[in-house]
Parts: sequence; C-alpha cells; structure tokens
Amino acid sequence: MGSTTLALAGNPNTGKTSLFNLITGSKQHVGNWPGVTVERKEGFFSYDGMDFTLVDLPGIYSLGAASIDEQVASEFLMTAKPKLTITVVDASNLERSLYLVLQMLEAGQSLVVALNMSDIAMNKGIRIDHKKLEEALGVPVVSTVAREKKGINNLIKTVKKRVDAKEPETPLMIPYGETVNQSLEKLAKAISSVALRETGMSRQLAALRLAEGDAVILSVLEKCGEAEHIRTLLDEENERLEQELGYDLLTAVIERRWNFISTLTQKIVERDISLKNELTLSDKIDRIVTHKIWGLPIFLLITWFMFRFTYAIGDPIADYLGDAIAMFGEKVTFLMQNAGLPSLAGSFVADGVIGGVGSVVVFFPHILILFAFIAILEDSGYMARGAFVMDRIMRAIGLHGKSFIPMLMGFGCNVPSIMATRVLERPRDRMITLLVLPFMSCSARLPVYLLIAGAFFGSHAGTVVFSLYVLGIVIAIISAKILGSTLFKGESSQFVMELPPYHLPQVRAVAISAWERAGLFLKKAGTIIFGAVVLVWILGSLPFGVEYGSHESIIGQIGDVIAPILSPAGFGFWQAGVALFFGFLAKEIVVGTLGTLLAGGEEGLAAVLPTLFTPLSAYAFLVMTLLYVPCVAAVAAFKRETNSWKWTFFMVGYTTLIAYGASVLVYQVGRLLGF
Amino acid sequence: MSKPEILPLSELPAGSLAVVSKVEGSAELKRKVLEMGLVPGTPLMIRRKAPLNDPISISFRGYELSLRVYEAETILVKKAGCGECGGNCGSCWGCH
Repeated sequence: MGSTTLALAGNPNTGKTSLFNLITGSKQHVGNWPGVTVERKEGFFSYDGMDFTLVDLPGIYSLGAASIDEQVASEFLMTAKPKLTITVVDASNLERSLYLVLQMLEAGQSLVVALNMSDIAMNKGIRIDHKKLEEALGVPVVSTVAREKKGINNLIKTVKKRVDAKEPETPLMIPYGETVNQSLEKLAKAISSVALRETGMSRQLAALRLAEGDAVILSVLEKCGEAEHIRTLLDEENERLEQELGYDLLTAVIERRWNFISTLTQKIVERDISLKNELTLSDKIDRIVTHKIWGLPIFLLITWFMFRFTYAIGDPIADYLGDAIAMFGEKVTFLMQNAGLPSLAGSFVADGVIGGVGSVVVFFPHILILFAFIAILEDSGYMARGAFVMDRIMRAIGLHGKSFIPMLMGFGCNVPSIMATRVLERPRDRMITLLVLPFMSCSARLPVYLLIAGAFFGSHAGTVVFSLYVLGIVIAIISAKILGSTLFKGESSQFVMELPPYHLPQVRAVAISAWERAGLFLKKAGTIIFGAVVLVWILGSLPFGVEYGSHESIIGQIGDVIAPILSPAGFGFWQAGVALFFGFLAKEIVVGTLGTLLAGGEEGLAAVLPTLFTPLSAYAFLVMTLLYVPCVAAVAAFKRETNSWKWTFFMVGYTTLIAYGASVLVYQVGRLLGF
Repeated sequence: MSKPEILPLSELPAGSLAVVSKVEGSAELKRKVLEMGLVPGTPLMIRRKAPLNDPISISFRGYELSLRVYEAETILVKKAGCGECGGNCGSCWGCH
C-alpha cells in the first residue's frame, strides 16, 4: 500500500517547523519546489499500520498567489490534493492565525487544526473554548505544545481518524452579505464550464479567487478567451460596491472574512486582562533594541559579534580540517608510490579526490556556526527587529533590511553568506543580494592582496588593501541599484512583516537548523565542488607526462589563449591566466600558483613579481582577483540557493565581465594618468 | 461631533490610535495589507518608528507588524480615542 500524502500549513512563527520535526522525526527529505527557490521539505511517519508522507508547506499568512510561497502552497493544495492538511494555529494569536484556516476551509480542504503554543496563550491569560471553535469551523481542533512535545500523539490519532472517515468536506460558508454575494454570484455565472474545468475549482471558489484578483485563475481565463469579459464585470461590480460600501470587491471580501473571525474569536476567546506580562516584556525589549539612538549601534554590535565569533571559532577548525585532509592526502600518495603505482595516480587521489573532498569539508564549521547564530536570531524574534532598524539604510543602496547580515558575513566567506540570504523572503530582494554578494571581499582574497600589495606598495600596502575592500562595496552598491532598476524592475520589494513576540530560542531547534543547513551544503553543493576540483586537476595534469599546472598542461595552454585577452588589463602573460584559473578553486590559490609558476615557491615570489608586473598592472590584477567569479564553492552554494543554472551562469558571466571591465579601466586610466 | 478627518497612516506620530478606513495602493500591496488583517474598521496603534523614522511598526488584532512609510501611505485611517474599540483591539495596551 502506498503512502498517504498530508500537508502541513500555517503562519510563520507558529512553531510549524518544530511540529514537523516532532511528527516526522529524522525521516526527512529536503529539496526544492519545481522551478522556484522555495525549499520543499517532506517527512515520513507511520501510525496504526498506515504510512504517511507529510509535506511541509512554506509558512504563509494567506492562500493565494501574491508571493511565491503562497503560490507554491496554493498550487500544491489544488493539484496534489493531499488527503488532509494539518494547519498550525498560534493559540496565543488565534485571530491572526484563523485567516489562513478560513481560506483553506472555503477551498474545501480537509483539515485538522493544531492549536499550538497553548502554553504561551495560558501564560498570557488567554483561554480558548475548544468545543466552540470546533463547532464553528466544523473540523477537529487539537491542542499542542510543540516546544514541550505535548499533544503530538493526540494530533496524529485525530489525523488518522479523519483520514479513515473519508467523509466529503462541506466547504465553510462565510456570510458575505447581500451586496457582496450579488457580485460573487455574477462572477460565478460569468465563467464558462470549460474554463471552470480548467481551473479545477468549484464555481463559488473560482468567483472568490476572481474577487481576490488571483493571477493564476486570470491566466486560465486568458487562455480560454474569457478574461476581458470577466474584467469588465469586475470593474462594474467594483464601481457598484464602491458606491454602496465605500470600497471595492477585494476589500469587501477580505473585510467580511476578518469580520467573521473577529466575531468568532470574541465568542470563544477569554482574556484575563491582569496578565499581560508577555506583551510588556516584548515591548520593553523593543524600546531598547529599536531605540532611535541605540537601535542601530546595538544591531551593529550584535552582528559584529556574530561575525567575529563565526570566524574566530570556524577558522581554526577549518584550518585543522584542511591540514588533516592534506596530510591524509600526502600519506596516501606516499603509500601509493611505495606500492609502485604511477605518480599520476597518486596525484589524482591526493590533489584530485582528497583535495576535492577537502574543499567541501572546510566550509562545514563556518556554515554550522553561522546558521546556529541565524537560527538564534530568527527564533528569538530579533532578526525582524534588526531588519526593522537597518531597512532604511539598506534600501538607500538598493537592498533590504535583511540583506545586511549576509552582506556582512560575506567579508568572511561568501559561501555561508550566500546560504544566509535564505532569511530574505521576497525573490527580488533575495536575488539582488545574492548577485552582489560575491563582490564582498572574502578573507580568502586577503593573502593575494597582502603578498602583491606588500611587494609593490611598501608602506602604502595597507591603503591599497583598504581601497580594494571599498571598491568591492562600491561595485556591490552600484550593481544592486542597476539590477533593481533593470532585471527586477517589475517586482516590488515589501516590508509588510510581522514582528513576532520574543521567545527564548530552543537549543534543540537551533542545533537541528544548523545541522540541516551544513548537511545540505555537503550534499548539494558538495558534488558540484568536488566535480570542479577533479576537472581542474584533469586539465592541469593532461596531456600525460606534463608537470602539474605547467605551461605544457591544458591549463597552461588555456593560459596562453587568454593571455592576449588579459593584456589590456596589464597582465597578458600565461602565468596570470593560469593563476586566475586555479583561483576558481579557492582565491588564495592565486598566490600559491603564481609562486609555483614564477619562482618555484611562494618564498621568492615577491622578488620575481616586479619583472612581470608594474605597480599599476599589479593593482589591476588585484582588482581582477577581487571581482572575478567567486570560488567554486561559492558558485555551488549559489546554484543550491537559486536552484537555477541560468542564474548561476548569469552570476558567473556578470562578475567576470565586471572584473574584466574594472581591471582594464584601472590599467588604461592609470596609464593615461602616467602611473 | 464633527466627522473625523481621514489621513494616511504614515502621517501619525508614534503612540497614536487610529481606525482603518480604506486601503489603496497597488493590487499586490493592497491585498497583502488587507489579508494581514488591516481591513476597514480595524483599530490599530502606531507602536514605534525605526531610527530613521522608516519603517514604522503598528499593532492590531493582537500582533505587531512593520511597514515602510511608502506602504503606510496607502493605508487611510481616522484618528481614534482610546476605548473606541471597546477594549477588543488588543492594541491599546497603554490604555489601562
């Protein structure tokens, strides 16, 4: 017997994720919804001899197609038709949570409501009349406290019973009133049966969706050639309602739903007014952390601490891991040579395979620590406040309040910061942040700056390095502005965002979230990184018999080919091309490669460099190193986060073009100025 | 009593109480704002403004929401006095 599909829906900040983890345990699968960047989580569990697949829908406030999250959730409910949906509702915030429940019931979905966080509600002095809520909604309501693992068995039992019962759902009827109903009926009648079949909805539901201005149903009608006729009708009805009620159909429909909810909650929710500690505590914290003067410094201090801590702990562990893996590689090569195997085989295993694994594993500690911090910030509720105080400044440079953390983390390493863009909900805000992030000068670029600037600029080396950091930021800001007004022009950014009450984050939830992210990176980005490392090894080792990465190898040949292209930037020799090519593996390798190719090691490099570079061309080379394609790990993380090769190639092309343009500009203008 | 003046939410100072009278703006934003519960007749309180006076945060229906100033401009409100909601708004915690 196959598995029965269930869905899990609910508002953000309702403890939906904890509930998902509790129900499905460790049997989870993470992927993406087809074609979009939204993550799709599936979990599996059995109860009473029946197998279930639980699909975790994105956290949403309403069902429609206004955001990608909503679109994904609506589409899944309409097309995959899960047997039943568990809808998580925040008991301490019942009124707001019920809107989604109402919409799902109207759509005729089979539901079980999980009344979560009942403990917090109790502490706030909120008492909910269970029976009356069940009666009003016509579906089972189960109390749960996911944080304390309470009520889960009862919830699953209820779900099973509901699935077994197989009784058809009768959609909830909301009293829209005479005036609005007239409009809805007219709309319902106006849709042809053919178009209706195409939408897969009932007549009433289709009319409601039209009233909501739903883009999906409109596009179906467009295909059937009925859109124009319906639009005219909508305009007429809007005008009529505007005169009778003072607002349009969209407002009227949503207003009636909220009205229904307010009336219901007034009947079933009892508030003890003497208990309002929770609210005042959140309020007191907010008075400090969103303070006019102190809000920004506090935010900067917290993020600075996060930055320092992530790299202060992550770096030594990553170094240790890197060294251990390199040592292991050497041991293996040694053993293989002793066993009489050709040196090429040894090099393949050590530099190719083990090196490839190494380049993946070294990111693990940073991702783990950074995501633990992000989980703490999100679970505690502070992330929303940070975005709140930063938004105006970030918006001035074309980004979103929540872009700040990924951008800052980018100075350490682009890989975890690319993954950190997950905190941005709107695709526009997220994509722009992702595309400009590689210009943040990560710490792997620093060794290149230090060596070359040290060799050419003496006491001014510090200023030169600083100028590169500033250049990266400036290019990022200009790019964000340009991208925002070109490719993403049509899409708007939004800041209609809940500021959830503060919670003490749970150690377990933080650990799970960090572990999951780091594991996903290993699995999804790891294969790409590994593949690229092996590919570069092959290019550096072929044809047979050449020295690894030498002029005769394929990479050396490629260096020859690109040298003339690089010459307008002042470094048109094959070694520079090869160094940049290897730099794709990790940018610090640029230094090592130059050392090997020019001086037989890093030690003599500073002495040899002036024979090939002038100070000006050295600076152009640094500009190139700063801006060109981020390392393969960052590209792989980018692919993982955008779920799109198209955007990944765009980013690679965009950064390369900018880097080339900027370094040529620096060299040519510099020459004109007489440097 | 004279008819209360209707003005954009963005024009009220922190701490003000108001009742939503109409939501305008682009279809996408309007729907989002309405679906979050800011429908005509909803009492709300302006909680605070961010350090640069934008975004702002408001509370209504027992929770807190942030909006950018240009988003708040699309929400037309009437100023209200405390208690006009009958104590049900969950917003005017400062009232009691």
